[in-house]
Amino acid sequence: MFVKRKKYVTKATGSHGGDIWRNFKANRLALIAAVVLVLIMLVAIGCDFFIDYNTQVIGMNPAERLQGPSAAHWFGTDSAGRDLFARVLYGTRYSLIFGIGCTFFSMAIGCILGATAAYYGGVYDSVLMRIMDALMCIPYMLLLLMIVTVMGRGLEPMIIALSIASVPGYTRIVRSVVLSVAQQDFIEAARASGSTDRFIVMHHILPNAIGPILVDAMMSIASTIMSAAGLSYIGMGIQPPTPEWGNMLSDAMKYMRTNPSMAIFPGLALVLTALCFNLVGDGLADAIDPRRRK
Amino acid sequence: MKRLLALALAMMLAMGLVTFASAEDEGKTLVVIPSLKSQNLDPYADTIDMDNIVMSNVFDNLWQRDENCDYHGMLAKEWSLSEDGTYYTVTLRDDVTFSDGTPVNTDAVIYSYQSALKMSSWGYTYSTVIKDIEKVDDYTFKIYKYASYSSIIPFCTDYLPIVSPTARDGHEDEFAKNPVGSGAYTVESFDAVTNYVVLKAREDYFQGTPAIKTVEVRVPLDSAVALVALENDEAQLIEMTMTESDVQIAASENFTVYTCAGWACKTLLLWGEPFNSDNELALAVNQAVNRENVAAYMGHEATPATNYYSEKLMGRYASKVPVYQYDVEAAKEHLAASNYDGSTLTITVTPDQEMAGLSVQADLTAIGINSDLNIVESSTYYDMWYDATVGITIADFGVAYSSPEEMLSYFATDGFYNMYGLSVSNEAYDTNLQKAAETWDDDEREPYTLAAIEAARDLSQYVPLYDIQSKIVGSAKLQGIDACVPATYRIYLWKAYFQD
Repeated sequence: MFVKRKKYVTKATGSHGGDIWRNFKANRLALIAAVVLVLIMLVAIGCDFFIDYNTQVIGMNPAERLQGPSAAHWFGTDSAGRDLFARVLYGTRYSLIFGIGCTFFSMAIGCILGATAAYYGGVYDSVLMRIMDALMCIPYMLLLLMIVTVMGRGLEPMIIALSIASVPGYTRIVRSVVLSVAQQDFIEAARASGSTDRFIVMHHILPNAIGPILVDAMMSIASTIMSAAGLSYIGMGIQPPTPEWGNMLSDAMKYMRTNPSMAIFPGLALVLTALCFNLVGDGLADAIDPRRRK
Repeated sequence: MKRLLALALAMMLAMGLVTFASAEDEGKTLVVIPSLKSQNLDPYADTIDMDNIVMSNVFDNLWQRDENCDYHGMLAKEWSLSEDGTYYTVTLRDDVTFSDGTPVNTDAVIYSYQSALKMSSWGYTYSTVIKDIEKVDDYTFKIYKYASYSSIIPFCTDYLPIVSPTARDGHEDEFAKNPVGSGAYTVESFDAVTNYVVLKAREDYFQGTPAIKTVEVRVPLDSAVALVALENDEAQLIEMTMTESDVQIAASENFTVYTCAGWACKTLLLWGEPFNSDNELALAVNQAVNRENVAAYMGHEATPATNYYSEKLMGRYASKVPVYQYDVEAAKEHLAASNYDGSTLTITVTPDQEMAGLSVQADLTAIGINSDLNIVESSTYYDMWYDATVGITIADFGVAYSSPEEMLSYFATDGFYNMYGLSVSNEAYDTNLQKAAETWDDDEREPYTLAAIEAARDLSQYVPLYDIQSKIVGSAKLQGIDACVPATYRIYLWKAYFQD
């Protein structure tokens, strides 16, 4: 009886990055998800070339209201007569801004705070981590709502809210990763050789810690996209007529039984994007950490 | 053994009878999903926190509407307008008692009116419709109009429920939980936690014993959820305006969709600056808005407005002062003549008006006016109203009791909205309105009213968008619900019954 097992490349190369890439490629699901993500990003970047924003995305047409999928409107139309296909595609842009932009922004801040807290320790570390602990006691969605309520609704406040709300989590993760790296001998050696603290953090600690942080970031992109959609769904995020999957889902609720396509397509887009980021993150985690591979 | 079997059989039979009896009782219970949560059952509490089902059936009014929305006597047996048109002489029925046994008489009517005047939220409104109520005898009184155009009968039909002075006076807190009226139902229980109200039929009700013995008024739900409750027979009447999608689903033989044109017109209100000091900008907005589109986006609910107020409210003045038509070129000319500096105007609406707001926003963009749409929840929206910070908004304008002159009076120089700096007036408006108020003959008053409406149209403080077609949904088994209920929410359940 033969059992087919997943095989990961064991051929050694001179490049750590090359090894990671080969291991990632061997994970078919993650690779497919990555390809889909690339397509999604291309759509987000290039949708202006084949979709007219004013007529197809926000242009209202009462005669075309609440139509199901057809040759003229592949995803149907919404209650304002707007083409759902165009709106779902255009909405990709905002979801990626929130997902990727906010995640990496909060990751950058978290890296700086976490790395310095771990490296310097002492009172600075204690005070900073107690602040982060206090922020993490507040439920994530509630924290988002608090920030948005103070700053107002719209694109910029949402970006700020989503970024700030994730900083405590990243700070803690980065700190723990950096703590383990900072105890390595090569760090001691760098210190002994006269390297400055800033140099050690930027050139030794962070590059060695970035792997797990990056993996966590990829997984977080999915949850950030969902949180952004959630904020828009309850009316605290992007305001109409701007197409965002969350507020499209909110509009669709009134018509769920008579025009389910209004909810199905934005919902599918949201699920697909979040799933792909999760799969890519999973694939990266497997590729970077050999202990996770079966 | 035989005895045991006989006993078991007897018990089963008894249980079956009890169950059948319960089923009989349950079959006579009407479960209603209301439009408002009842939190205080005193109709003259400072804020009205009582659903209309409870209000309509626990308390009687002087007049009531029939299925055609025409007015008939309820507690009033006879009435006549004085020769000079300034007051009605009303004679009450002398065979009606409150549920506590005390008589419904002139003292009760005057007490109810005086209680209404003391309301901090609505007292002003009462004082601008009814000037005074003067006792003639125990069952006769004179009710004086505040102005020539005061609609006494419609107003009293909706807003002057007659309460028992004996039960309420000095016991307002208790009355708020156990109200006493002369209506077809009494309050059997009121749960302050769930806000459920259970009503029990009065067997001695003067208009006839209700067929439905128990009414359970629950709490408002999302319309889609309410519809599911109706489909599952967990409720038999949804006393709230249904969405377009819900009405489509309800268009089946299992349900009855009641439709009625209302007295309210959805109106775009151009409150405060820059409109108060820039009439050309207001006129630009007036002619930029495409009412056909707005009505189309609001679906089943709307017919494009053709009058300054709803056609129903306009009454004898309907179609005599048409609204400014949608005209993009004319709108651009007005905009060019205005002082508009390109700043962004904010249109504030509640979520149910999002489509109307988007349509108006698109129309303004088409002529070069920048705008933002601010969608806020109802509680925030009403706070903004009370603070007079709502700015440009879309709201219902017009109620069943009102008249065009009364609506116009709110915008006069000494009117309610002007007091808060929300609107402006001019001499033509004020003068004609004043003359209308002082002219008690309907035909003689008409030219002044029409002139005042034209002046209002030229001031463009508000832009009528669409007349509201209200719809509510009930089980097909439920009969006796008047067709005008969706517009009035006065549901007289003593007429209702279940058809097998």
